[in-house]
Amino acid sequence: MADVQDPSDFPEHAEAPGLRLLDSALRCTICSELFDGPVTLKCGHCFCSLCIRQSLIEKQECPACREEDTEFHLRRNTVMEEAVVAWRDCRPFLLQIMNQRRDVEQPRPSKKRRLNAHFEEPPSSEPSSEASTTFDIHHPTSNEDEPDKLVSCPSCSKRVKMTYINHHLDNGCKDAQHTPAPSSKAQWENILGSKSQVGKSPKKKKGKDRASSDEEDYPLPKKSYDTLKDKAIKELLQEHDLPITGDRKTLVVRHQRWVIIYNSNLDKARNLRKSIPALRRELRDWETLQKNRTKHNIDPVTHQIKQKAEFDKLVEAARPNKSSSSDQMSTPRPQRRNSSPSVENVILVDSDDDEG
Amino acid sequence: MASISARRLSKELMEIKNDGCPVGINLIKADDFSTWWFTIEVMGESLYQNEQFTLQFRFDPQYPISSPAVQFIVTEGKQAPVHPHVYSNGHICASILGNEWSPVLSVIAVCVTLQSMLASCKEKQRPIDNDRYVKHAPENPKKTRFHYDGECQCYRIIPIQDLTIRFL
Repeated sequence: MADVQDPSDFPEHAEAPGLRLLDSALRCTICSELFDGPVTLKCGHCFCSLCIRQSLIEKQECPACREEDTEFHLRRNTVMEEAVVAWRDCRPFLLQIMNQRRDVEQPRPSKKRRLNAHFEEPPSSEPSSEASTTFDIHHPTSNEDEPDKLVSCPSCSKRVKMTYINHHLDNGCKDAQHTPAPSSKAQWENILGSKSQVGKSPKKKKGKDRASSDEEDYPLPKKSYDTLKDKAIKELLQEHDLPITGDRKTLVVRHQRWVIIYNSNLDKARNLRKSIPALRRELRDWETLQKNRTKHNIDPVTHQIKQKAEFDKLVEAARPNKSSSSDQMSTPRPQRRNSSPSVENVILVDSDDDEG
Repeated sequence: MASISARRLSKELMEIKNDGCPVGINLIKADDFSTWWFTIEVMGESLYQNEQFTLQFRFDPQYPISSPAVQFIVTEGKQAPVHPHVYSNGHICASILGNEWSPVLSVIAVCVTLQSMLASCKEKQRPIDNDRYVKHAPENPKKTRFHYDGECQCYRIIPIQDLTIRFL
């Protein structure tokens, strides 16, 4: 997982005051990613819309301070969103500067800081790249004002556009020239060009017109599925061109998830939103992931059949006990069985401990 | 698309590797994003001086929305601490692992909580209902619905139909 970024990408406070803190302040404490569609709860804590919506389904409280809350109180945090967009752009750039600064700094004995002594390597023969100078008062240039200016890559010396230098470095210097950094922002903008109905053969016309109009801004209402017939749930799914395969439980789960994905998408600024087909793909991927993981789980019935011999043995072992002693806990052998999952199929009927 | 749980766990792992674990806690196994092992010791004066325990974390794809399954390892010669909230099969009755779980908590946060739970122990004893619980306990402690009344006497096994994995 090379693509995992976290605040520790930045040096410690002594070396770069505030940067680590800033990076972690812009991250959701549930998923640890930079905020994606940040929303604020009543108490003021902020999370990704998708994260907090999932969490609120489990428990109606703020995960950080446990203050009771519901999703009706969620408010978009647009300022945070803008900050994150800017930070996303700026992050790789800043990291690069930090690295270069470190390299440049070492040969210079005048610096007071002696951290990173282990970075001491023979000073590279190359002249320090121009891009490294933003922070460095000794070499003031102003490249950052001219994004189209060519700079030489610090590692391969190739001349690359300032704006693409990060991408160029990330690719290990073997780039296709002018591909901009594949920021999620850029991807979203690509998707934005193709509104809601791309690449999907329309199965049902129903709901389509609605999806492309201004009504896109309205969140989907939560449904109480218990009161709905299968057919009604299928209709709900069809309204959004979602598959209607699977049993009732699958349908409910699918629609539930769709509502969360859909509504959290609306918590983003318009230009950051995903298209409806993209959301559908997300839903499909999520379902696949769930299915794969579920397979590892033991199906109770097959488990019961497979372990029948073991069960019979246990039942046999339990019987004389019951008849001889009263049902006190006076079993002579301490029954320590950590490795026997079969017990989970035993339903306890405790007459003396029936608290419900 | 890596799942959210895997991404979040890889970040936690990175943090552990960068900053190290708190004193007395050591990561000993994290080969994948489903099971991690830690050793845990209580530092300073306590009833558990010179004892070392092994904690197992198991994660499902809903982590961190759903809590990890946490228990002490009691195989391979390892033992669970004798503590009023720790059953001899390694299961732990701690609200933070059940209804008090919050997705902003982390693996290390759980370790530290359990460490302080041990540190504050006044008397080494098993939960009162230890034998009965251990006899019928499900393999996964998350399937037990503990009652967090500080006494650890009451528990209930969730009926079998609830054991199927829940989608959010």
